[in-house]
Amino acid sequence: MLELRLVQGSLLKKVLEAIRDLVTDANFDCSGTGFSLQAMDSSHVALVALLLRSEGFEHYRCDRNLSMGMNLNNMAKMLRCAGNEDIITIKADDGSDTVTFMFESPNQDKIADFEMKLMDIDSEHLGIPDSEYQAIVRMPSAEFSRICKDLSSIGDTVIISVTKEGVKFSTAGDIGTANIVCRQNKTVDKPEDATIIEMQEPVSLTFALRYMNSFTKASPLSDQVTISLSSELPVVVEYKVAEMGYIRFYLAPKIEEDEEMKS
Amino acid sequence: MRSGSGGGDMKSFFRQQKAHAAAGSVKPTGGVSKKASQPRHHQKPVAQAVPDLADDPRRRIDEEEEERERMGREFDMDMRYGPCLGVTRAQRWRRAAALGLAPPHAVIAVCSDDQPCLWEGRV
Repeated sequence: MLELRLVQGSLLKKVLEAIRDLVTDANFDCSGTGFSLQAMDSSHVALVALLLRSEGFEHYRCDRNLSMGMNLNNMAKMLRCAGNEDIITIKADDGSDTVTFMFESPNQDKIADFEMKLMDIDSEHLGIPDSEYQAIVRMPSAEFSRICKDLSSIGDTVIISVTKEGVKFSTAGDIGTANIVCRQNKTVDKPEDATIIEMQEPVSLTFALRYMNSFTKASPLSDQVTISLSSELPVVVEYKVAEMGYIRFYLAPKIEEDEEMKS
Repeated sequence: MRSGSGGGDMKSFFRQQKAHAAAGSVKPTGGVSKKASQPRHHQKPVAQAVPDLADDPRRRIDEEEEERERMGREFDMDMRYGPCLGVTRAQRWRRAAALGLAPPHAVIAVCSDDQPCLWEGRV
């Protein structure tokens, strides 16, 4: 028996919108820790890891660990039927091959339930170690989203370079080149506007903008985004989900040849 | 854009964890319905990053060893191949084979002649 009640139902809607671009089918895993998902995109270049901790739910009951295979587009279709203020309850019985989403309007005068068929999905599960990163950039998520969008109109890849001075996003394409530099800025009125750079050593990596753009679909979840870079590791783009968890996107850096082609 | 080759494969960075038994997706061996049972051995839940020594050979050997051991145990527990007490795994395998029960070949490959069954000395 599984029963999760999420008062801030809009969070789940946003989570779905954030990942369904990248992944079409995925297994949601429920355990005592929380509601989680790990999935790779079809080309295995990007990985998304979602965690919503059990403490974040108003009610969390998960008698046994359960893995539910869902088509994210179908799930998004159902969740779009929930109002932004609605309370969402997810229910599943052990052994059943369906999951039920229940939407309650805030004043309880409308209750809807949607039952969705589950799928059997073969997924690979990767162990992601806790790593030390050479550079960690925290910046407003809207800013990052804007940068990726702007650069993708010029080139296909972005080179993210972190130095003491700041973080530079650059690209080159048929029509020309572009560089955007963001400096560290801690003295802001609102903490969510800050840009903070923690750097152990300078690092410069190249990534496909197509993926970066789909990561930024998670921007509505959080005002800030954290980008962790290390030369030997996939970049981690993390959005916090309220106080209850996170969505992390991992993207393997592009190999050298592209950088040489640029220079 | 060389869109397909967006970069290296994730799996070249993060090691794959064994079977998705991780958080409960059960791949039953018998004809059980897909969600009927629960994981027999359950690993860490997804999002808790597992400290992982990427290419430590010792670890890999450990894992292979564990895999062999698991296969042996599963064979012991499979009642189709007859009683397991008082015979070694290899003996039981040969007996099953002789009786036309088609025991899995992978098992005999990892069973040494003197390997006792799981219950030896415990019951």
